[in-house]
Amino acid sequence: MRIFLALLALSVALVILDSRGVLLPAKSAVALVTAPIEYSLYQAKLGVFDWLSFFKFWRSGEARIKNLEQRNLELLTFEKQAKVLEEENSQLRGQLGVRSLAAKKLLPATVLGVGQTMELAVGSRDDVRVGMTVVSLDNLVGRVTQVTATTSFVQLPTDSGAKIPVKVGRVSGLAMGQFDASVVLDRVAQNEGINTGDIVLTSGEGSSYVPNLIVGKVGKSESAKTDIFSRFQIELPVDYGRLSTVFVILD
Amino acid sequence: MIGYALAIIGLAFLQTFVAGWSLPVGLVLWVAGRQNARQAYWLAFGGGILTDLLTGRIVGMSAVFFLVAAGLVLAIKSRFEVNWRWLLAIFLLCEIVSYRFF
Repeated sequence: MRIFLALLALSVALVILDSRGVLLPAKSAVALVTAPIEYSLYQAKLGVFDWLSFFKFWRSGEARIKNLEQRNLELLTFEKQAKVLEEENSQLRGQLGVRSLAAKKLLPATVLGVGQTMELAVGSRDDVRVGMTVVSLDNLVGRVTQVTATTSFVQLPTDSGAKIPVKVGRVSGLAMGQFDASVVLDRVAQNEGINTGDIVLTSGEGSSYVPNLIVGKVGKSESAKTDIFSRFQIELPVDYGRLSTVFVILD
Repeated sequence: MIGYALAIIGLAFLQTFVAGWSLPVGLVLWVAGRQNARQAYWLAFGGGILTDLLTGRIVGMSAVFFLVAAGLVLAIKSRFEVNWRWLLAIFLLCEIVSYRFF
């Protein structure tokens, strides 16, 4: 019983110390050993899932190929439209003095593991700082919340503490992580005309996240018509648990 | 001693891979059931700390969880005649159900 209480007290003390950042130097030292193991485990996990997905594909391959051919035709049309829009967009960005993501300084980072947070193999010696935004293509992955010399920890949108200022068209809201690892769009006034499938982008309010990154698509509504605010599920475009490389926006 | 170290690594490995709690807790239960309380507590603590380090969690969180689980099992075992294999089976079932449906 004495051992139990002593170890429990020690564990609680570690939780408190780590959440206040006191253990960062120790974690940084330990990461020299744990980071390669963590990386190997994570890669093995991705490998296992790829192997399983092959069998899934094998079972439903024909239907999926037909679907992909159809999608390919649709995408060719969209590509033409996108080129026109891209030119317009770049002209507007130039007039407004806003830089696109491609013009920002991106640091590639190997994912060491994804648990409650995502751990990256870059740290303060790579100029990573707390508060920086992490992306995968134009999709938001999260924000750096802890940095050691060689590793950094990213709070994902699915984290129950994540509150991301977002916009859907001209409508502002808040994307909030839930305890079941889903994300909801909240604080949206009723009758704002949000539809299922609309794209949710970071708004950049409060300068906590880089603006205009894709958070996801508007999913089904969770609120009643009598509620003050509308609440929607957000369908995430990225499976954070399957990313092997992401990018930290350095500026 | 080697088996003991392997159990700690296995605990962290399971948590990293499966991302659920029942299976690692099940391993603690197995040790708690087979071995003595002292070993179960140290396994829970060591495995918990290693799990946190390998999954990017706040250090100590998993250790608290595993310790409480091991403590509960040992308390139940000492008070009632519960077969630890049944407890382990229930935890494994929980893991499969949570993995399949949630």
